[in-house]
Amino acid sequence: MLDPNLPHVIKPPSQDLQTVRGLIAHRLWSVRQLLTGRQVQPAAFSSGHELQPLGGVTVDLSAAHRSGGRGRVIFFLAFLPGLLSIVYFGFLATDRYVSEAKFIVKTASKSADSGGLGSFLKFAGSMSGMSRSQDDNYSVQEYIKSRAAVAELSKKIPVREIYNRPEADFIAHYPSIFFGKSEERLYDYLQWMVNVSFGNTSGIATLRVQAFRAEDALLVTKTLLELGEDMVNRLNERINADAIRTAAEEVGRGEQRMIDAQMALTEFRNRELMVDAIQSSVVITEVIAGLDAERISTQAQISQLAAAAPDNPQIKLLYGKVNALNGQIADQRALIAEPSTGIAKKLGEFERLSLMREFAKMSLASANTALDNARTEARRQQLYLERVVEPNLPDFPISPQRLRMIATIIGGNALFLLVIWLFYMGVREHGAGAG
Amino acid sequence: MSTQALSFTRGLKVQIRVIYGIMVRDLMLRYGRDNLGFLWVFIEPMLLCIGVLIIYSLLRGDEHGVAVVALTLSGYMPLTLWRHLTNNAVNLYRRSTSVLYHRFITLYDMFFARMIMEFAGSTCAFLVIYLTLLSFGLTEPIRDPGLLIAGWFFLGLYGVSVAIIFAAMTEYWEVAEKFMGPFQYLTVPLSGAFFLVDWLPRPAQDAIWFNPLTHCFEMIRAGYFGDEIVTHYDLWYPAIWVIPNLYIGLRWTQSARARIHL
Repeated sequence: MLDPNLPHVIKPPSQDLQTVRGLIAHRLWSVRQLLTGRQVQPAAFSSGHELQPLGGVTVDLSAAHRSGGRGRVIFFLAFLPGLLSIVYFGFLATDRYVSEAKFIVKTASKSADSGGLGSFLKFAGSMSGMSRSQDDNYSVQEYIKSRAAVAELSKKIPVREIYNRPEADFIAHYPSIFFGKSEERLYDYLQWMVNVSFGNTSGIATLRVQAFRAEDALLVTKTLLELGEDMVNRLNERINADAIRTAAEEVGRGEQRMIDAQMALTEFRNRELMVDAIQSSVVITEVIAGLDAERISTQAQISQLAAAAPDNPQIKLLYGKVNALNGQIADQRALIAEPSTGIAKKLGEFERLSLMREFAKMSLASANTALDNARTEARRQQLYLERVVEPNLPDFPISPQRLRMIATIIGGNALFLLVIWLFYMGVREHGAGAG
Repeated sequence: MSTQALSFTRGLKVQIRVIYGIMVRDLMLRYGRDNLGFLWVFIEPMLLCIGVLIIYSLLRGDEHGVAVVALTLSGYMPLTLWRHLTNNAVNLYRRSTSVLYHRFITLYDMFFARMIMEFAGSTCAFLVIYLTLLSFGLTEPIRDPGLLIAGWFFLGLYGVSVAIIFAAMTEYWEVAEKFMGPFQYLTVPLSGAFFLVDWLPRPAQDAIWFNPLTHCFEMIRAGYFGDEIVTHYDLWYPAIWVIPNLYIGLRWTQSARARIHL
């Protein structure tokens, strides 16, 4: 940047070096000299030990400091944010109460590793870079911060009223110039007031809610926590339903099969007037055996009598008995072996039916075991939202952190200015080179 | 009284302008007016950081449940600040003896001008990278900006207090320069730039606590991640290093001035 008003060669000031004014003037001059010298031959400064003569392009450094407009800009940039933050946080901002609750979401299967070895293994696992899954924790955390939760919240409690208390200051209350009345803006606003953070190492999530009254903060915290619990319960129902449904269906089918088999058997019994075909055939066989034994003993008697007294009239009688017995035996045999009505055929049918009932019984038993297993599995996958710290009723407003906010804004502003200054300086000198 | 007050404000103004002048000179000497010029002040650390970011995020999605992009950003950018501050102090006076022809420019002016510029450059790089990543949704917003800014200033302060000793030391002994490399390689990996102290086993945590750098890094991390992570730092510990460091450095610089012959 060239300033035509400035001389191209700067004369050393004539003041006495003993006085402060003179000293400063001399120093100023030397800086200018330095800068102009640099303009001529940059390399001279790094290698040569001889100062280059003055001349060439003059950099006008003082322009920035001379002009009032730019000074004002600098003033505003440098002090305005700090001043505004002091005014707001010092005098205007209303106190906000913070209610805090801590909770942990875990499944039954995960809680097993609470022992010394378990925690050691977990530690070893974390050292080798494996991270445990925190999906369940995140699901609750995400839900509490979601639009759905905000909608549920405003159904349960008057959220808009809670954040529109008359004592609330104009920036923090809702609705304000920053946050309009729409649901979406309410959601954005609550992102500011509701904070859920998750400790990666501890696994404990912290829910913090700010409100203008202590009881409001407590109410919102409680309600949000309850919403989170509801969500966990819904998840559990889903897990239960999915896992158990198929097993339960299988049990139902097994039961039906069992009933059918039993019915078929009963029907068979009624039809054949026979409780147990096997038992009946055993009875008949026993009868036959008895008759047979009697026949043999009768025949033995006949041969005995025929040997001793061949004319005994009893012999004829005994022959008659043998014939009758033979007839009985044949009848009884027919009862078993008759192709159309004999027990032998019924026995086949009966055994088929009882086998079917046996199979039905077995499959029902296994289906029941499967159902039990499914129930256990579902219970293992069950999520629990456990409240580590119950929501508290704050008795002192800890937000906003006034001094801290002011310090943050001033510090951030300083960094910002530094960056701007660097840019300004760079662009300015860059431009000077081009010009 | 009034003349004294006047001389103080004038003196301050002059001081600012001297430092400004030296900074401009440094800028021009180092980067020149060609191509990107001063933009290199923060493009340099940016390139490095972006490279590291890409490599790390390709290697791992997250580490101990902490997003690797944010982890790298919050570890590597402070490291850049630290390295720029300390590395630039090495042979600082030796490299620009010629400026001392101007009797009103002191070694302190040179030193602080250089430090301010490096601090501003690193800050700028951090801001630009952070805002870029944030706008692409690659990192979460900073949870506690106040703590992060405090940590950043603290690291800057500690960096300056070490750098001034480096500057004076390398002026005294040329051979000291050779020790700076090993010093950096030994201290930096132990500083917590690439890991969280909380991940370490307990004895290592206790040992690393003695490195003041760690406290600054942990403070920055605590500001970046909020209570998502567990951090271990004390404010007073780096402070008790800064004060004696600065005292020694300033005194040493004073005596170093006498050794410099134009």
